[in-house]
Amino acid sequence: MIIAENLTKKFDDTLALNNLNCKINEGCIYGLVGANGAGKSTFLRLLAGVYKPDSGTITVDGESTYENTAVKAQMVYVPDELYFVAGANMKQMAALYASAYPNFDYGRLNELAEAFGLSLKKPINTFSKGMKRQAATVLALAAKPRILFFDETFDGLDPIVRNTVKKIICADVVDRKSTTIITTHSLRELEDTCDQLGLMYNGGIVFESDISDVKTALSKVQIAFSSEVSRESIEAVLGAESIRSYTNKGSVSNLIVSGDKKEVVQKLNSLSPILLDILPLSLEEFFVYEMNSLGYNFDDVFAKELAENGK
Amino acid sequence: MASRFWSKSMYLDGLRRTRVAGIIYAAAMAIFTVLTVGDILEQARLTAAESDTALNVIKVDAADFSFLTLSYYIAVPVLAFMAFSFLYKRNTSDFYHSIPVRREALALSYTSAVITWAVVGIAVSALPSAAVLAVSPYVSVDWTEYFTFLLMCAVLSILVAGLILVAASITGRLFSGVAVLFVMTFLPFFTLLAFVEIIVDISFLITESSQIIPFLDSYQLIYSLIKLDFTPAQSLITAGLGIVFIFLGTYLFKKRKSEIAETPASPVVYRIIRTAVAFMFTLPCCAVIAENFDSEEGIREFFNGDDLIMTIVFLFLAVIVYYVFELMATRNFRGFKKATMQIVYVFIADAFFIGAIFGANALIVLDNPSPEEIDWVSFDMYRIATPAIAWEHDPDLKYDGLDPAYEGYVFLSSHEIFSDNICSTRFEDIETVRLVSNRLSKAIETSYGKTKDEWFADSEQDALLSTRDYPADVTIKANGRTIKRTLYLSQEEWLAVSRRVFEADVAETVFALPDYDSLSEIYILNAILPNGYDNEFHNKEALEKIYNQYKEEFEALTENQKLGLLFQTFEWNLVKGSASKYAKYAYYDSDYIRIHIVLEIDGEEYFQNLSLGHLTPKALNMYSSYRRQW
Repeated sequence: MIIAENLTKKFDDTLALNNLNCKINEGCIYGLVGANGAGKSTFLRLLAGVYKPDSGTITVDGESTYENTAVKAQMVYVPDELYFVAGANMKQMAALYASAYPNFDYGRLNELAEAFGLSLKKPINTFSKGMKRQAATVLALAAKPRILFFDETFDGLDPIVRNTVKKIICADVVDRKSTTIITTHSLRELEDTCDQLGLMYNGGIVFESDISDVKTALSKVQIAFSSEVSRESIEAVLGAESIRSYTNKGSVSNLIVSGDKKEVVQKLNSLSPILLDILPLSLEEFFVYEMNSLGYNFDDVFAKELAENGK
Repeated sequence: MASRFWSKSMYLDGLRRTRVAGIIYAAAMAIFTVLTVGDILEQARLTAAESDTALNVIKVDAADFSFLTLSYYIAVPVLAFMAFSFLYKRNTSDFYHSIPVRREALALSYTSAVITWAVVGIAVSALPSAAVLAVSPYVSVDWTEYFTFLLMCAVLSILVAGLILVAASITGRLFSGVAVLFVMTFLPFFTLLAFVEIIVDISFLITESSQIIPFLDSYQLIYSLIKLDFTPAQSLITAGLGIVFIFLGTYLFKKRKSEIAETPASPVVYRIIRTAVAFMFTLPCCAVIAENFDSEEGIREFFNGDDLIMTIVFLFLAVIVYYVFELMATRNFRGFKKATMQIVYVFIADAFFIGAIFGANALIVLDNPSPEEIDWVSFDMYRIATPAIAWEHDPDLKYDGLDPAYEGYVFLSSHEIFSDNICSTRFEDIETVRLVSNRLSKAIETSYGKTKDEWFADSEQDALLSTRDYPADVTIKANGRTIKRTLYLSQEEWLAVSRRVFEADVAETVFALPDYDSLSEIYILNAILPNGYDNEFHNKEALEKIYNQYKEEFEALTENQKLGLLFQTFEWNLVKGSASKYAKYAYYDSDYIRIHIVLEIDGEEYFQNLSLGHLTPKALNMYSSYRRQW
């Protein structure tokens, strides 16, 4: 198990991580989402033993990661900015990995390289950006570590390769019970991959949840009545605190409701609606409403990304 | 194979990372070697063709292979910065800090890879050169010097690799890494040099830097890097220094934060580097200030003369260097405001430096042992350009019909065996000790409140100090410490010291010839024969017998006769009353044939030419006899 307690890291005057607390269970895929500068990469570097915490601790199975070669031998970190030895091909990089990681498996390397269509003999610097990222992923997986860190790893991958990478990571987790931590600033990337999600903001994890809870905790309901039904009437049935969002257009109302879906449907049916639909809730919507309920403004948390996306 | 301190895979990775530079360097060494050895063989061929004797040979020494110094001047810096270049990029630094290899192992494996390339380059040159020259006729190689030189190149490569490991470990950019290397190489030398030279300028008791720090040069990295005539002992010291730097670098590498990549260094270290660079350029200002601010008159002159302008110019230059460094290290102007506030550190360093000079100068004046505290004194006689040793009138000697000489002088030379014997003589007698103690006290007493110039001006009017022709560099052993001072003796005092050399207890040691077995070199030079005609006699068996015979005859001579054999020319001071006349004079006309001996003491070579003539007839005859046989 990975445990971070009161983890703090400063760079000169900038507080990158501020008393971060987090627990990541073994054998899960943990998605860490947050805007640029939220502290995701810093957290991964601390976890990978690259940085030393200024205060607080970060441990893997109770052992500190910094300058701990035994722990590091069980972890592979695929950073945002990739590194390959100048002029090296994948075979040479594999030799470097094999010398550092005791479980490196050349059979797995060949298998994965073939799956991605990567040449082992071609210099990596001739690869495209996406291929380099695939190469780094292949090398990391071939090292067969217990823990894998992927920093913005889906960047630069086309949708097909992205799905392939996700599938391979998932298979690896299932087959070897490895733990994987993936950081991204895009919630959509994590929706169908992660078991657990953490939202980083200003150097701390402001929200953490199991993906199964995410999918069951909130429901998006579209409901219509033959006559006008007020919000108060719905609140009377569901309870005011369980309605996270309410919008109304004519006779049709849209609600985001917390609680068990079946129970919600049962309660709403008591109002005899002419239409009652439970719609799929995207991860982004989930976060918007959860964040709002915690007092954060989702637009602030992802301000930069939203601006970049022209929203 | 991976251990806490070394990893084979990282070592091989280090070799791979640097292979392009390593191969180019090894190839360059091979080309230089082919050209050099080819040139030597061609010279040997020409010599053999032109000479009618097989004894003329081409002598090969370290200077012929001076291109090997490129190993530590260029190859190692390039290789080492290349090996550790991963520290200067965020992603590469993170990668190497994330893999399960201990940092100590990473640092030492890469450093050993760099040293391997350096040694490969040296070996590429040395092995074929040695093989070819060893079997070549008409070529004489001083193998000891040659292999000492190779050893020196190897150890200096280790030293430079160690320095760069330190520099790379504490910096995050190549520019600041090179700056740290520059500071580590030059700052101690320049600072120490400025420190002692300023004291030499302002102190009336010190005239040589070696009186404050003996062998100043040999402690300096820069000197190690430019000196070609290393002894094996110096090579070992340098290797030790290199290993110290490698361990220091490894420690700093372990402490290094990966996040300093792509920044000049951590804020504190960067401040120190920037201050050190600028401080070096303010040293001339410190010198001018220290030399002027030791008296009110000096301060007045400083503000009224050129020194103020000079100080401002150097200060301005240092400030420019400071800001240019800031700009080049940070690559932006953002830190200029902070840098401007922090320039005060440079001035604080200057103030400490000047304070240290005045403090050291005060300590020199306070160090005034009484005769009872002094164990012995010795006089460095050959370093000064005055007749160094004098002896009494020899009634048997006349010059050009003039009256017999009153006093005779010989000029002593550095690295001459007998000069060194005389200069290392320790005088323990109370008269000499008291003489030195009184002179030191008098100098301190008369100099109180005066600058060096003022003191000299006053001393000239002082009857006791009027004879500044006899400055003596004195070593004083007192209270378990050794202090070195320059004192000014009167002619009479000087002669008294000189005469002590001829007193039996001292003369016995001074005029003792070394045993044959202790000599590192011996041959007889016959100046009667013209050059190129076998004028050197090298037969070892004969030389041993001749030398032992010579030693026996030499020991039976008077001190004056011994001097005549040891110092072929000297001056007579034909003094009678106030009239004096100097004459250069060859004591005996026997210096055409000389035994040249070399003695090695503590890695330093000392020589002596011994005249072989009528005072040593048996040895002369023996030489003639062997010469005829040979």
